[in-house]
Amino acid sequence: MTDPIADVTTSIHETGVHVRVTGELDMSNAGTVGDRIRAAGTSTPVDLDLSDIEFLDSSALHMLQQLSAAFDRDGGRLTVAVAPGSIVERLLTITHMDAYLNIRESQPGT
Amino acid sequence: MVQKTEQERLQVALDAAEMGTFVWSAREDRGEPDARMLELFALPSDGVLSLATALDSMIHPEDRQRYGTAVAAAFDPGGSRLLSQEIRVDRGDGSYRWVMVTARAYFEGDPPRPDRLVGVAADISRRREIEDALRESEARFRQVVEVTPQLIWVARPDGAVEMLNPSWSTLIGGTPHTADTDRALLGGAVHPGERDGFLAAWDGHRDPPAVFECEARLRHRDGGHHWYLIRVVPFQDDSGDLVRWFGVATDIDAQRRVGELALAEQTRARDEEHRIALELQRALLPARTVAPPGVSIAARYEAGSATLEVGGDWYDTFELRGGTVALTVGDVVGHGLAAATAMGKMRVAMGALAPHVPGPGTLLTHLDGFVAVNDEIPFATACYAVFDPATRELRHASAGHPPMLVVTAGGDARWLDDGRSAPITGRDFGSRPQASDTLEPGALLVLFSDGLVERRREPITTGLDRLRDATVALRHAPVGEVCDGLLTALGVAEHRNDDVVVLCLRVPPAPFHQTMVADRHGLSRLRHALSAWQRTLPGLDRNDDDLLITVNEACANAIEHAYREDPTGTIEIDVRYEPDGSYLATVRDHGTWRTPGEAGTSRGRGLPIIDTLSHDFERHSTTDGTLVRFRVPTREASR
Repeated sequence: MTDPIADVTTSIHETGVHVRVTGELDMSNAGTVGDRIRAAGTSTPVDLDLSDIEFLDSSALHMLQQLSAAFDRDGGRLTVAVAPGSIVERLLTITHMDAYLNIRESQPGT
Repeated sequence: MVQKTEQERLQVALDAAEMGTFVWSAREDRGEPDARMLELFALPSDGVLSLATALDSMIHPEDRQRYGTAVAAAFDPGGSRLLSQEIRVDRGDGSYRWVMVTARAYFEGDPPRPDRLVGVAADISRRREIEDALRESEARFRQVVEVTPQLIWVARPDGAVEMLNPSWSTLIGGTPHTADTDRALLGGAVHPGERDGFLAAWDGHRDPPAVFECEARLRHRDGGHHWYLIRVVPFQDDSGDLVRWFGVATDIDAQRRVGELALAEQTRARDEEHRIALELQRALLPARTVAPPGVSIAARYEAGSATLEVGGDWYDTFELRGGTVALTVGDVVGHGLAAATAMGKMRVAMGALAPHVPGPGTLLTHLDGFVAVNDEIPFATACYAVFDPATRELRHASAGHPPMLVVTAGGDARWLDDGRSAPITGRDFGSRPQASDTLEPGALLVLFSDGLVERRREPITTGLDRLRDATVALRHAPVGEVCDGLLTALGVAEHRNDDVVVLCLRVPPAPFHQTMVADRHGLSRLRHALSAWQRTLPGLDRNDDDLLITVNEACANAIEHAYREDPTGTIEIDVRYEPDGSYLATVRDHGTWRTPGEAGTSRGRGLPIIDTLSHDFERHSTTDGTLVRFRVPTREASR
């Protein structure tokens, strides 16, 4: 089923799996989007690109927290790409989640 | 035949020149004069001309020796054999005429012996008189030039300096050869402060030649500078060709100094009056504008610059019963202390009348009566408006004042052209009209005095267009910045002729209101609607994600906890934009919270996020449901 407010694109690279999420993440889709990211495998390196996210809420933050825990448990490595000044960066900062997520800076549209 | 013609032609030439001819025999000392020659020497028609007689009586005693010597010299065979003498000849009445004698000596035999003198003579008295007069006038001119304290120079048409008078040499220094041209001469003497302007002005009078006059400082030999009135006159001949430049410089230093002192005293007195009037004006204008809830108002007054004096512009704002707010801008014609005090009276009168009149038209009608008994106020224009924030109705009236301007949040502009009547002069105009308008949420209302839009040599409509365009461009800024921006955009500092008042009111923007069903899939639509509403608010380029985040969390809580996904439940969302730039958000549900708070759910961060991004958080739960209210500051204010 396609999500009406977010798109998830998965591609395989030599360095690992690249998952790009665009659109909005809230309580209506955080769970299903989380499942699709998890499907890429939590025991391999995964680059989760959130640099084109337009909105996210506390449900999405909860999903990211659980995802991170799954990677830690299964021996994979999750990197989250975040655009500076974006709503994602703002929420990760005020909730202090930037302290334990593996974040890399990225520009929107790249 | 040919010979005869030649002779005739010669006679015509002699007649034209009024010349007499003669042949004089040296051996016989006997001349053969023609009729005109006889006339020149005052001899009868049968008279005889001899050198001896001429030297004895006819020729002026002072000229006799010279003439005799000259005749002898002409008969020197080794000489030029020519005679050319100007002599005075007795007219027969004791007076003398000047005669020019030109002749050639002829010789006979070998060795040559003087034989005869053949020549012509002409009356040159007139020429001699002119020459004498000229000589005399030149001598007089030289005397004047030498004794006058004025500086005088004469230059040839190409500017080469021919003469400097002694005053020039004494006071300024130098000789005609000091400078190649009059331009270099003056350029070297004029004070550097005036030099370029002086030379440029002078150059404009050289071709075609014209009289040039200019005041400038010249440097004296002692190093000091004196103010001079410099005048250069071209002398032209009859055909209009330039013959000489004649320059005179007159020392006007003393006059200038007296004038400057008087001017300085005048300026000081005027500055003092300006300062007092400005102080008075500031004292008479309100210290602040009113701030009714939700409505923002700002005003600015700029006095005319120091040389232009204070005017009679005023503004005022007051809150009236029923939550309405009154605004006025006006202008008492005139400047200085009188205008400033008259302005103060008008402002106080309006404030006193405002609570007691039913509307703007009536207030202006009452002002007519007030001015009629106050002859210090000869002429004033004023506009007055009453705004009701609850209905957004604006009732307005203008007495000869420029129209008020309305600019909507969307950028549409209109002038409030109705409700207008004549300026206030103390005459009874009967009942003055008023008009009514409904201002759009978020719209800007601009009141101003004509000093804001008037510029010299420009139609008033150009200034009004400029004001309209500038207000449209500034419409999203806070009202204080709109006032400042308008003063800048309309070049008030550079072009001010008069004092200037500008007053801005912003109508509160429409609040956001939406009712949504308690469906998590409706949150995205709510956020987009909220975002679209934000884009209609003043203040561009603001990062307003915080409002979306907090309202979304509050609604998500209601969906999850109050209704537990009951799709028939509804949530009401209200957001008000405050004049300080913050948002007041209210989220109301009609459900029952299973647990207070939201512990143990996947959304455990919702409330802490609202708490971090807002302040003044309240939650009220009743049997009817729960109301959550919080204030989200602008990013700048929250720092």
